[in-house]
Amino acid sequence: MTDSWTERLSDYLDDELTLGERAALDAHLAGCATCRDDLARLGRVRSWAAGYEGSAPRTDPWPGIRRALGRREPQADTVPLAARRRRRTVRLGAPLALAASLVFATVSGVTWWVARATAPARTAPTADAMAVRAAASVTLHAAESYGVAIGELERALVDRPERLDSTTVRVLREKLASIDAAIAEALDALAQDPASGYLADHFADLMRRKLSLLRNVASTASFES
Amino acid sequence: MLLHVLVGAALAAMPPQETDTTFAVRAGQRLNVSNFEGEIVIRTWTRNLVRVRADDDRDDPVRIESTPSEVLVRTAGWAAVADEFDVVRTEAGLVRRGRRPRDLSHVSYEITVPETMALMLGGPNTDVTVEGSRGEVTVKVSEGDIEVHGGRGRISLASIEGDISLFDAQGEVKLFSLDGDVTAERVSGRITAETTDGEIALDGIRCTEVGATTTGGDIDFDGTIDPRGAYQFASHNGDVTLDLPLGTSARFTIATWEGDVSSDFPMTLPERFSGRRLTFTVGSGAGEVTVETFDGDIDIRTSAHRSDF
Repeated sequence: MTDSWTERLSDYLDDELTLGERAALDAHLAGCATCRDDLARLGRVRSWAAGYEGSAPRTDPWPGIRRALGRREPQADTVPLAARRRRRTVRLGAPLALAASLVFATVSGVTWWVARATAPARTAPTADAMAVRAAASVTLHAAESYGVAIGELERALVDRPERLDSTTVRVLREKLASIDAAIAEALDALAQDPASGYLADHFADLMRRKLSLLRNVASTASFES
Repeated sequence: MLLHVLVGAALAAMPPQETDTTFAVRAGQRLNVSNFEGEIVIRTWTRNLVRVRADDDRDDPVRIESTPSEVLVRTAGWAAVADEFDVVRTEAGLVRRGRRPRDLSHVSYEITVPETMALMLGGPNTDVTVEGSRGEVTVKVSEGDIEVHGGRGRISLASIEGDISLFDAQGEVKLFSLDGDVTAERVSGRITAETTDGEIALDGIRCTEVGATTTGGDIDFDGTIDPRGAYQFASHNGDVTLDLPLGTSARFTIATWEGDVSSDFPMTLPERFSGRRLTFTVGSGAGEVTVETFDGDIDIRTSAHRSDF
């Protein structure tokens, strides 16, 4: 039961369910802690993506992950990531860059994927599939762990220029763009090699570094008397 | 009108007020110098006195306050607005900033302190130089270079836009520049160095822990590997070069996505290395060394002249 609802959580957040579906999912959520947790995680990821203005990966890593896992097509009741991405782009609207929708779709996709990948397997997973699963978990964990804090600090420091002088904001924007480009490159590489533990860790490290950078700037710009 | 002009001309002809005062300090007091714009130079002596010299302006004179824990030096104008200039955390965990101060003077400080006195120095637009310290040093500047010779215990140097240099220091060292190069020479203890697009150069390092991270710059490390030590070097687009003594004993873990690897120590790259981690051991493998760069080269050298480390 949980699996079928897990795939609808993103639609639930986006208010895309019919009234009947929404009522049914509300009833399910009342009794399913796992789905409530997944919903909360998706919400946090969406909050992060809403403030994300970085570079988008040129390619989507998750079809490669899916192929490596079982080389099977998505089930009929799931929505292909590409379709999700297009819909997100429209729905999120003008305030958000295309990158935000791509990252949102990607991270939403991996949230969904990890839920599926960690479900009991019908057959014993291969070593490659286990590596892919581990890499995806690291990637998702990093996006969740750092994403919200990054979004909050980035908005606080960059999007409200009165809080920092213009030179600092300009430099900060340049450096954030530099790290965002690196994050996009890491995701591109993951698309080509989804079983790489190094690439997953590198993505996580770049996210951690971006958060560390923002915290360091906030701390350095404070002049205690 | 004429009177105003004459008074104005007379004031302009007067030399700027200059502070030059010397006073005793208690053991344990920290020197806190906050400067909106200009330069802070700290020198040391063995006397238990602090001498403050500054080319401050008569409209914005230097104020010196003493509390049981610190001696605070800043101009009156900057003191009036510095608190509002702070970045503070709200209940929501966000950061905000007060209004920008105006009409603050440019001040060059030259301050002589007891060599073990702890230092807290910084400001929005100021260069900082410290010479001969044997105490804790904390420096935070938004725009400006930092150069510190000496330092013991906790040493934290941070600049948003400026280069950072540290020489002959011992202790727990943290170096951060958002947009500048980071250099450390002859440092022992533990050190972390972080920048975004700048270079990191660590020379003559004898630390048990080293962490060096940059996104777009190169990392050069020349130092020893402690048998109980941990060393991490990570870049995204830069090269990483390690120059180690002949007798090094360590377990190396290296990884790159698009770079090349070369090593004076024996190692064999597997056929499929890109995106994978390779571990190899030199000597008994006592220390832990991790080198990772996404799109840069890794070069691990050993030099005979370094065997005396």
